[in-house]
Amino acid sequence: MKFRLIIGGVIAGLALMAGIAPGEKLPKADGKVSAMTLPLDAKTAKVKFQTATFGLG
Amino acid sequence: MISIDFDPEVLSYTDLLDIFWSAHRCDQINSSRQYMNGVFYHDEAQKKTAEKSRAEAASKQGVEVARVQTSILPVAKFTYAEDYHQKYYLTRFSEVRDVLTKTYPDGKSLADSTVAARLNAYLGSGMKKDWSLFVKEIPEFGLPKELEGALSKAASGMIKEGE
Repeated sequence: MKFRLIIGGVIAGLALMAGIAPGEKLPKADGKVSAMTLPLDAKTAKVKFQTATFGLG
Repeated sequence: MISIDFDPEVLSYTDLLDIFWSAHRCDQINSSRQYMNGVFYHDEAQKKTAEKSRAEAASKQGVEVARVQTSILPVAKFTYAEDYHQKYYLTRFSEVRDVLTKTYPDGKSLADSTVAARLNAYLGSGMKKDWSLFVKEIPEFGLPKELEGALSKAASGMIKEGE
């Protein structure tokens, strides 16, 4: 029981350190532009964009 | 990890790779997977371009290709970061941020917004040389008139300061 709680605490701690709030659901990329309200966004949403993904430490 | 949507008629994938390689040492050991340096390709064409650019970057940095630590991997699932990470530089400009978060209440929309991206780049990086370009662009954003006026005034001040 105590062991489980410690593991739970460690996992919760790691999640907090990673900036993940409990229960928070983050959206996945779906390739759709969801910003259309501002005129420039509505215009650029029609552009055939390509995607580049990088990691920088 | 950062995902950039770009218009290939304005900017090429190679241009972005050049910026990526010049922003880090390619022989730097990745301390953890979370902070790893890497190119995550979306198709075979990107993979080939990235591999070619790795050899060029290694040569420019005087690193043997075998010692390059920067990874080139296929992209997996991309999850948007928490809202407070999106367009981070705008957190210093609460008036602008408030209008944008009211317009786009969820982080995904804010992240997708070209207006937010451009404001974040201009206001966050300084871009001292481009304030006149910024002044020209402001009316295109479609921001509330009051905010538009305040931004134009601030940018004009920066231009005068630079003169």
